[in-house]
Amino acid sequence: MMNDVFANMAYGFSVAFQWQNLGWCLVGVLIGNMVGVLPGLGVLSAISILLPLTYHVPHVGAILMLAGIYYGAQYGGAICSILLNLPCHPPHAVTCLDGYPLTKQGKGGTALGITMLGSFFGASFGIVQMMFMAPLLVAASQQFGAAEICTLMLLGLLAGSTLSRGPALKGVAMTVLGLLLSTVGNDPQTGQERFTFGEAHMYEGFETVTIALGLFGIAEFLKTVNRMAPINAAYTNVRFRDMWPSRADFKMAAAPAFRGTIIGSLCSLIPGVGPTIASFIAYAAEKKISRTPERFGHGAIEGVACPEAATHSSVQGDFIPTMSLGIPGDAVMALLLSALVIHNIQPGPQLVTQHPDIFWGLIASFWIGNIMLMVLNMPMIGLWVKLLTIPYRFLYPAALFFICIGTYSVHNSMFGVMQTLGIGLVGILLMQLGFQPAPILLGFVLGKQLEETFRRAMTISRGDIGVFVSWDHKISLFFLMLSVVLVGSQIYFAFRKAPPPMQLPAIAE
Amino acid sequence: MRRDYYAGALVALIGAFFGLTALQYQIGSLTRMGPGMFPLVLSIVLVTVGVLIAVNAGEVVADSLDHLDHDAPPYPNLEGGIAIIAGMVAFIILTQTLGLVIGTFASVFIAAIGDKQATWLQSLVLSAVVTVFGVIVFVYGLKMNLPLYQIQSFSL
Repeated sequence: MMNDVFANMAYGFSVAFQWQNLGWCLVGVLIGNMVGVLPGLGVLSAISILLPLTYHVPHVGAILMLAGIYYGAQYGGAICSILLNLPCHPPHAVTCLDGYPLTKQGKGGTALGITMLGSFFGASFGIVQMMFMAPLLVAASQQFGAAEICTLMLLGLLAGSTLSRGPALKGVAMTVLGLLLSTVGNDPQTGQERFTFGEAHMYEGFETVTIALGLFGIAEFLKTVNRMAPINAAYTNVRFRDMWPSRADFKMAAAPAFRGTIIGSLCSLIPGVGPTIASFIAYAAEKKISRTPERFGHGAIEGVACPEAATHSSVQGDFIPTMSLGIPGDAVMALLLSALVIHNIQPGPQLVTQHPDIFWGLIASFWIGNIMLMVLNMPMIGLWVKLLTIPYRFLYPAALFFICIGTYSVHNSMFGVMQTLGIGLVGILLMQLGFQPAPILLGFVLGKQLEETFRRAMTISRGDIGVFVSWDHKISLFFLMLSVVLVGSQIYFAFRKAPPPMQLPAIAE
Repeated sequence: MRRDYYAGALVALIGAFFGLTALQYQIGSLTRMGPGMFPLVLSIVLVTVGVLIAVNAGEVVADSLDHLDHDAPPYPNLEGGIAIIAGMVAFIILTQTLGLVIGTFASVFIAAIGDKQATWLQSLVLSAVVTVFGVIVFVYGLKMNLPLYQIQSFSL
């Protein structure tokens, strides 16, 4: 087993070190880091905008690049939180609490340095976890039939919709809406047109790109335009030599970073619990065990190191269920999954054996990408800090063009652009009503597969719905029981009194 | 929260719309599911969830991250929003009738002047830069099939 992993990793590095794959990885982490730094642009917007461009990129390169955007943005997002007090990226919102006070005390460089080192440690742990756990999951899933995959998807969807941000019921509503949107178009089994209302353009149904760009592009811009918090660039004068932490700081941050890493990797094992929740739990836990909890919120270096390490180990762990089972835990992973589908690669347990170049190449590229990010962020910090001051008024009109041309390119038709605008308008309405748009995409991406496997399971069992809980399908029963526990605990917590909210600066996503 | 009554009602309405439409398709049996079955089941779930959201409106939900979302989001800015929508409509119509160069320039410019701090000069420069970049990357680089200039009537 160990030898297998190392042999596979050697193969992975041979893929990731091909010069064009190295190039795509670098492009991905560069864009990711930039998106993370720029206030007002999110990871989801960036990946959606680049998704149509990856039609033109070879499949391994495309996946390495999109993944690079995701983890690259985590490095950049921390800079934005610590130096500007702008929690542009939800996982780093909690970093503002102690990061910005440190900046005001003139220790912004140290906070950034500790963050980068802690992040790299967290990410490394997450990658090692993926190297060893993903093959185990794949092996376990060999016994899965239609019933098991169906209930596993149900569990994933329930976790993704109830454990993500916002009220659980609203998350469920958006997931179901996403599932319904996936049924629009020609039914693959009977050829019946559903919800097309005779419109020929709708025959193929909605495209992931259209929905993602409507929700994370247009709706986001509509929400953010003229509503951005003003950027206070008073403390952005950070140089490389300020970043190297003193021995005392390093000692103080090492143990919290380690604890954060463990919390993050544990969180990534639970479907639906992503980096945002991991970083919050890490911060709260670190404050609780601290001997000097009163320092938190006034510039405690532990309050930066712990959640940042948790974010990064959780971000890398996020890839495990997506790449090994084909079940994404959140909207970012759903986009990555649809990038595979765009390249005609069927996600699922067979991916590892059918496309080892993608699977092991991706893991190898995580190592390369994270090292690139360290090099990019430590000596070149001055460059990134300059980007912080690019105003939003230049970003969104330019991004709007990319959205238009991207949605046009899917079918070379303006109908796609119109659809995106329509989805964007619906999206902003839903956001105003307190819904989170991310679960829509999660439901949409899994919808077709869920319907297909459900139908298959029913055909095999001759219409016996009890197949999901029968003793012959213990694994399916287990997944359903987990789902019941999940829903039950949500109901239990809903009826308890709300805990006092942690004080946080307003989120400007 | 009053907002949640509307939220629940909207979700239930969407569910009802999909559900009633799905009834027109063949439902079939569990053994041989028709095209209407899956959407119908989902619609019933969606209507139920919508009703539950409306019923629970006003309840404080315990959620560790809730404070991130609990404050009602501020209304979107009207001028900025209109500029973005108008910019996109301009891209759709002008690219189709006059070509990519004019479509891109107009859409970026219209969207850009929606920002309160935008100046005419900056917006013009931004539009020009995006147009040049867009043409180089998409038309010359990716060989996208869009005429730079044309005169045509609008059709989809």
